[in-house]
Amino acid sequence: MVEIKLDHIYKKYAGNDNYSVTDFNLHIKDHEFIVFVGPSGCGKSTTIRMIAGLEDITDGELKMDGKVMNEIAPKDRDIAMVFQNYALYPNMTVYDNMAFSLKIQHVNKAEIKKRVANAAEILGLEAFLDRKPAALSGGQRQRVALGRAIVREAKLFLLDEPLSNLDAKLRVSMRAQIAQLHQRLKTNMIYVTHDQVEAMTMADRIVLTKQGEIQQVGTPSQLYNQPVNQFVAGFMGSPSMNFFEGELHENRFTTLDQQLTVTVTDQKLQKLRDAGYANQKVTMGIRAEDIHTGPDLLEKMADAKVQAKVDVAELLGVETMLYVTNGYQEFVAKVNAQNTHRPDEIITLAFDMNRAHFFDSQSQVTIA
Amino acid sequence: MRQPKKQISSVEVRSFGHKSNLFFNILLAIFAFSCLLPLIFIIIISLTSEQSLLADGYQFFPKHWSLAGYEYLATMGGQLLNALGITVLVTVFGTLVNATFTSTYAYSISRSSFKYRKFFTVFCLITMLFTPGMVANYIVMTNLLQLKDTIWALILPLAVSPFNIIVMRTFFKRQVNESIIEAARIDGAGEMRIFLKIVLPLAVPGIATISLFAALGYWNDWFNALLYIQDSHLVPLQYLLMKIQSNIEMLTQNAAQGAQYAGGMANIPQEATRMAMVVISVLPIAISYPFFQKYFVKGLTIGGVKE
Repeated sequence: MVEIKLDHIYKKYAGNDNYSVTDFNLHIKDHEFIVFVGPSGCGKSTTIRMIAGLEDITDGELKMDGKVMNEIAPKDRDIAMVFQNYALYPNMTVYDNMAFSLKIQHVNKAEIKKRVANAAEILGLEAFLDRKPAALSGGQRQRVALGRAIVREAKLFLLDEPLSNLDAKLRVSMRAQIAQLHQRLKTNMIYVTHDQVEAMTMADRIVLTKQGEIQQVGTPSQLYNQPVNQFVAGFMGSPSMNFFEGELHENRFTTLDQQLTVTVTDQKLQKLRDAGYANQKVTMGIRAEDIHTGPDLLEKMADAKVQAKVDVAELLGVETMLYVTNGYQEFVAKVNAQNTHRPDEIITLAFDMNRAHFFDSQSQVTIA
Repeated sequence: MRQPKKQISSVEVRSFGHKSNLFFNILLAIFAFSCLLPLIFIIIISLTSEQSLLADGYQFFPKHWSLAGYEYLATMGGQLLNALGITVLVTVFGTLVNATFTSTYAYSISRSSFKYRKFFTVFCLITMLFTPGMVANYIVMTNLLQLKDTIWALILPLAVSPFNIIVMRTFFKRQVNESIIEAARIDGAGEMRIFLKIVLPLAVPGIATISLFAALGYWNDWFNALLYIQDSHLVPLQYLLMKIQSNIEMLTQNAAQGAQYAGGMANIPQEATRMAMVVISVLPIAISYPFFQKYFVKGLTIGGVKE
């Protein structure tokens, strides 16, 4: 219900030589669920705190519905925020925690009661309204923090790593709850996380940052399938994409130690040649799930077969993770669990070259 | 088969063995008793008749009990009550002033968003390290502020204690997480409301501690009265007791020299009166301890934030 524009935002902390956020440009539309993701120290929390008004903006403009918000106090920005450590008021009951902001706004008592009851119902907190935060579990506390944000009926929700203090199982169920909440409330949400799985599963659009700079903005599938550079390719997906340093010779890609050689598809080859990388150094990237061991696939991808020694085989149920070595190159393959492999076994794998990515060895920018 | 690796996730002493339990109980009982014994002894001596004291010295079970010491103090009557009133007033009001100044100052310098926190921290520390001395104090109080013979002369010198400020600053830093304040700010609370509704309730144990320090300071203070108070209506209890004490000594000396006072002197139970004074000056503050103690509960912030 609000349109947000971040226009060349910069942030530099006092006593710091480098910018923590550099030239951050983003246009967030109505009802969008935006996820800021990146490794720690990439400036994602700083950015969300600037949007909240908890940090000053060093340079650039933050606009909400066309109005410049740089100098507006947090309370006047009509935002709600959920913190990583919940930040509940320990001296107040769950009810008072949620009602605090409404009391300040002098909302009448009946209305407060209605809104809190409504939020408590959405989050399943009805039974805990009289308790203090100390008497709640981690998941319940985080739901109270969400409830405190819901009752505000704010235009914009900011969530700063809200799930990272919860255990794995709870995280998955809270993830679904937050996604549901977004459907229901239809407010804008900006969600910060370092977990690419959360980003992939929840976002309408992902903003991937590194060292204060935006690397790529796009839908989860765009970031996953069409990464703009090697960093994005490596960050999205688990396990990380495998990278091979090598050279192009004719239509084949060969690693620097000459141990691994595969045929590049015509379509990719054309792009590489057009960009002037014929017989040049490039980095090839391929995801674990695009490496196969099934006999039928080995036959189908006969010109991209690779020999490798199995180091570790991890059975995950449906799939097996194979950590293998070829020459000096280690890589991971996610293969069908029906094809069993033992450590130290020499196996043949096939690369699905349609799904390979090629990056400039120096600048790491995607070529094809 | 390989032994499963022992994993120690936390260590907690749930209970002692029977013998060590007994040992620690006895040890602590001795300690507690050694703290309590002198006080009990003083109360007993204050209730002992002067004759028993002269004949047998200090005893836990004196032959003759007597209220003479208190009766002598009671002859001071109005003056004693007046002094007690002054002390209570100064202690209560002074403690309030002290707690207000200390906690607000400490809160300001505990928050990283306060631009001049370093300056004010150092400003506070300097007064701890370098005290100006009595003469400078005296001149400021009497000549500059013209506070001689006013109640303020008893309150203001102890109104801010740098040590307590540092204690409270650390307390605020550790107990009140920055994100709680940020959450309140986003919820629309102003600085004053944040301090009163959120920070203060969390800081109750700390404030109780510094209030106790301050209350003890005010209660036991006689030196400021010695310097600034001449008006007998403004004399606090400790100073009055000190005056009585020296008067008794003076009377005793005079009695030794001139026989004419001897008759009067015999009526003053010297030792018992001294101890009665101690009892009167110690008891009220000792009785107030449990009320403070109630607030020395820790862990109020548990549950607010995940550490």
